[in-house]
Amino acid sequence: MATYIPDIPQGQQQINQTTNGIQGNFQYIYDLININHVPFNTLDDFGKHTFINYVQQTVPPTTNTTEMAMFTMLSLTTGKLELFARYPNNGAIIQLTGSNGQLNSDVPGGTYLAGYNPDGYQYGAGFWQYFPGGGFMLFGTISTAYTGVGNGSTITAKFPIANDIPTFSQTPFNIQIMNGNGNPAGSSDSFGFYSSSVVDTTKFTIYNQPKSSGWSANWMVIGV
Amino acid sequence: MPSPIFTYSANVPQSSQYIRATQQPILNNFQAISEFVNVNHVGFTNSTDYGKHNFTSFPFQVTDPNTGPVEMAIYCKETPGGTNAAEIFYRYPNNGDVIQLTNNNSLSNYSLLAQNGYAILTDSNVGIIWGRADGLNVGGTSQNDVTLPAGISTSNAYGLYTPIGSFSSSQLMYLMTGSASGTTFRLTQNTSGSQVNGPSVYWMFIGSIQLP
Repeated sequence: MATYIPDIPQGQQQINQTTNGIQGNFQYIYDLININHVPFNTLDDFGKHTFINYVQQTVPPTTNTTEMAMFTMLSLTTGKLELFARYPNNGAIIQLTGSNGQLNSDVPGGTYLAGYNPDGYQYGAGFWQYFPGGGFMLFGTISTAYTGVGNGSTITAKFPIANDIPTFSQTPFNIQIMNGNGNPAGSSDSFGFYSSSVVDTTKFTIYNQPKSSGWSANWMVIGV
Repeated sequence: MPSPIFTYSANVPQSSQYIRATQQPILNNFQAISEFVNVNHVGFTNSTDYGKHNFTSFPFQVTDPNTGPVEMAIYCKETPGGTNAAEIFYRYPNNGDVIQLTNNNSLSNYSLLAQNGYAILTDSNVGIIWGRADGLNVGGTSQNDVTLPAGISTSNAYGLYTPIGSFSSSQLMYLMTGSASGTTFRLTQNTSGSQVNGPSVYWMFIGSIQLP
């Protein structure tokens, strides 16, 4: 590959001194435009983008009052490179990408705060997904056969964490708990119904009513 | 962004020109090209990533760009009626559908709800809107009509509700039901004479969401 020489030709140079440099510059320009772009001499599409490679940024780009920007940098929540957008006038930065499945500890690198079965509750398969406008959804299942977790009981469940699972930076906005029981366990178990509260960035509570013992629930949390 | 230092001349050299007359504009062109490439791109001096992008800046577009049958486009335009001054959009091939990609999830203009927001998914009309309803009526078969934030409506959306709070074994909780109807929905408590728990609910709709 030629070396681009931006300071040729100089006034004191003869043309035979600058021919190679000028040709090298033209070649280098052609090679560079070929990266990510439709090259010169292409009917209709020259100058457009074929695709875009984003080189990792360590600081977000600045934006003026009449533009937005897209870029990639290391996500503080997923620990991986993700795509971001920035609003005009050095405005808000939102993470556009990031998703994964299977929060099980079977996933390489995936572990819970205190192991797979930290509190006597079984944390089942789950997933997470970033929203294109910022924020993300985390969802999964939880179940237990623990006899002390029966009718009218309360448990505190932990959001799973691993290297690539996003963590909440503030108390999540919304949680939905749904009955995961196939059938009530007995005549006194009418619905296996739940209520819930988000306690903080790491855990939430589930109030079990009126399943007498052994139950499961599907949960879904939204936050940032 | 600063203005360019060098002026690009697209019509040099001319056959009638002496070399000494074209040296300066050719020099300026090479410098202008390098200066131009350094905007948004990895420049010539990086032998590994030259030509790739550091980031892409999208100046506001007044009209949606045209797309051919084998291409899509991504761009930015103003959204004066929205939460933010502008958003990023993409357009499907052959001048197809225009879809809004970004939206900053923040709503704060609704007195009944706290912790409310929305997220648009991969289609401009498919999304999730969520919130919290407090101070609900309790007892009997109390009905609570909740109005969505101004300008937001739902259609063909599925509602989810989770009561907030705790209870003891003597305080039975019953199902709450809700129904979506444009800009409002209804929460109904069926207490059947038993004490209900906590007059607050997390609600959520998933489906067709229309934003302001």
